[in-house]
Amino acid sequence: MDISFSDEDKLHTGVEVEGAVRETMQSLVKWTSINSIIGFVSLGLSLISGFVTYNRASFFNDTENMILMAISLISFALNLIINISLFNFSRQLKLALANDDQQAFEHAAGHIKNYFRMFMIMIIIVVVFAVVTGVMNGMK
Amino acid sequence: MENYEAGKTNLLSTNALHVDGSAANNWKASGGWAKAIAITLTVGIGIVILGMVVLFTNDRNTRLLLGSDESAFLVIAIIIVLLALAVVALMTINLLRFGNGINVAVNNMDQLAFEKSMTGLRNYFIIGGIVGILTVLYTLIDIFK
Repeated sequence: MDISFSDEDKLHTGVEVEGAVRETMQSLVKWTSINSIIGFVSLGLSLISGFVTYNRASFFNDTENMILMAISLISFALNLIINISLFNFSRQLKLALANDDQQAFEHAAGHIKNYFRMFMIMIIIVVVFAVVTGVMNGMK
Repeated sequence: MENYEAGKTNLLSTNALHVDGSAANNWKASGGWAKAIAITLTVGIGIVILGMVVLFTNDRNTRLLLGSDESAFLVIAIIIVLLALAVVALMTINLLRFGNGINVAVNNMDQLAFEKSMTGLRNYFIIGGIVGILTVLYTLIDIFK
């Protein structure tokens, strides 16, 4: 008797979203949703304060400040992607739990992966920026 | 040849959501990234603590800082930094709990490890949410002050 396993079968883990896990995930939906909304509000506030500061300091005349602004914009874009990923995770997980929708659950897992990946990329950018700034200040 | 769909029959006999296929891969990858973030944060916390220890173990620096007019402000700043470190440390512990737990859960079909990892992830977002709410409130108060 041959038993054949497809690639997908090999990944069956026997881990189910039931009982305590389901309750924890419902709470997770609420808090990830709160986090993403706070993230969007913070981005809006930083955009407003950024524009006000740049206008006051006639920011666009200085090359060094232009570089700083470019970095701020990259950071803003990354933050936006991170928050969109988190918001999508929350939305898909909510859908999955409400309808026992396996496909939505898989999408949710994809979004949380993107969230952590983009978060790590942003940390790397911040660390590189801090090191470069430190070295440049040291050379002055 | 009989082609058994191993595992699938049992899991699909209930309508419950299950962690397998692409979901398992994505959760595992999330755990890996979460662990990487947690390790980076731990290194960051270590550097900040080391910096503070170096700053305050030097007698000259301590006398200079605590003897100055801004010493009260400095003490408040130190308390805020220590509080921030404690919050980041709590978030890091929960991220590690999630990262390690999800790996064990997927690899060993361990339901309990999955529960623990989800609790870690939820706690991480609860702490992040509370800090975020406080930060936004502080910013709004500062703007309209």
